[in-house]
Amino acid sequence: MFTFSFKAIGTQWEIETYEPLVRGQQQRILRRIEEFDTTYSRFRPDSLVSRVAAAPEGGCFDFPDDSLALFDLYDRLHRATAGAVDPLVGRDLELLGYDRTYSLTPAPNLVREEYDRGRASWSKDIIRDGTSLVTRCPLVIDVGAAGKGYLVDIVSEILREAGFNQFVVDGSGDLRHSGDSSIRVGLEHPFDPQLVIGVANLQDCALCASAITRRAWGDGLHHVLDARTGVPVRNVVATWVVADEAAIADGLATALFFTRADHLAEVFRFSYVRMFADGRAEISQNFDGKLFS
Amino acid sequence: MTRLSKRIKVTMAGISVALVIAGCSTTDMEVARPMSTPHTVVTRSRSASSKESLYADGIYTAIGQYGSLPSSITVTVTLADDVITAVEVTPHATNPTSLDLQRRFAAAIPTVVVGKRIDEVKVDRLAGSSGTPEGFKAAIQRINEQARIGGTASK
Repeated sequence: MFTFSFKAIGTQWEIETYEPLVRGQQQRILRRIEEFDTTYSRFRPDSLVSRVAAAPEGGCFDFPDDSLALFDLYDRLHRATAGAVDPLVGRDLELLGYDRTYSLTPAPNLVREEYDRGRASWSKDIIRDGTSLVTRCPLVIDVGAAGKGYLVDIVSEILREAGFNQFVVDGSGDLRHSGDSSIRVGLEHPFDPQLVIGVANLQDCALCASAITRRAWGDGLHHVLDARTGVPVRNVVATWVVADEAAIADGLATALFFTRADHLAEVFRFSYVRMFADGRAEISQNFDGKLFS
Repeated sequence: MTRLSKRIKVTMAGISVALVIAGCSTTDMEVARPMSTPHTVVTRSRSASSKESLYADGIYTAIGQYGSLPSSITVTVTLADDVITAVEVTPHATNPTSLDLQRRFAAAIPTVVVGKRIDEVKVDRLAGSSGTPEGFKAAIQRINEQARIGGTASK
């Protein structure tokens, strides 16, 4: 087993393969991730989404071909969660302090209250034609709900094209497995990284995790916000979703903070575990794995 | 009529159904009054009910709809002296997919979890909150340091 480890989009990545990746293959993966970041990172001033955010009168912005599947997925997530999942949650994240400089300092109440009166939404404030977005004012797009999972899928596809069919792509909690033998994945306890609350068996599919406990910076402040209100969620503290694709698993891991699983299951195929603030957790019957209770 | 609009919330299998006892209008719920359901046992009529009791005893049935299709479940509640003594939930999806979904997700009843130490459990990988972006961790560290310095200065 060979492991290619690297840092990209501000996080740790590991790719496990049975045959080593040659230098050219490694370079191709790193370039593709960089390309994705140049389009979608709201933390880079030179990115396309930063240009959308900086356009005073809005405009028409042509996104790359890979945006079609991503935006389509966001359309479905937005509908299935009645607007709770929304890429335009970016402005609310900034106002709470999760901004480009990581100020982690919430904007004054007055500023937040003003935005409260005119909160932007993906379904109303953006006109999309395929990969083109038309805006009328500065809008902060944040693809945090499904973007990293989607990137894990893109990297997996590069490996497949290069002839690899047994591998694990691990983008820090967003995993995709391919191969004959399953792997066991520990579900980290959201309140104690030394503990796991259960295990999942993963084979030929993706598992994505989301938790509000670590990326938190103040009293009730963390990165999972209900886009309809801009308020961080409280009842659910962690989610794990298994689906065929990492983009879907990642998006649903966020959606499960707001929306009941049976509702999402009418639109998506997945299994899941979710843990609540009171220490209880639920596991779907179709989840391949177990909880320690 | 305000007291009659009191709702009894029945939550089971992750599906919430607000059962409205009185005949006040609801948008997504059909409420069958005890008198009109065939399997009803009414021990006391409304007009004869005492002041202490808000609702007539009996078996009440309501159909709750959820989802976009929509799917529905039937909730049957037995009421005696304003207390729910029994609840029965029957899923009845019309298409096989929904029925399958209802059965699969019906088991997701939360239980208290106990963490096990990572070194006691054999796992190949971990998934959870450790996937925190570097920039975020650095910022938290910076703030902690500032807080420490500030704390020292103020003493």
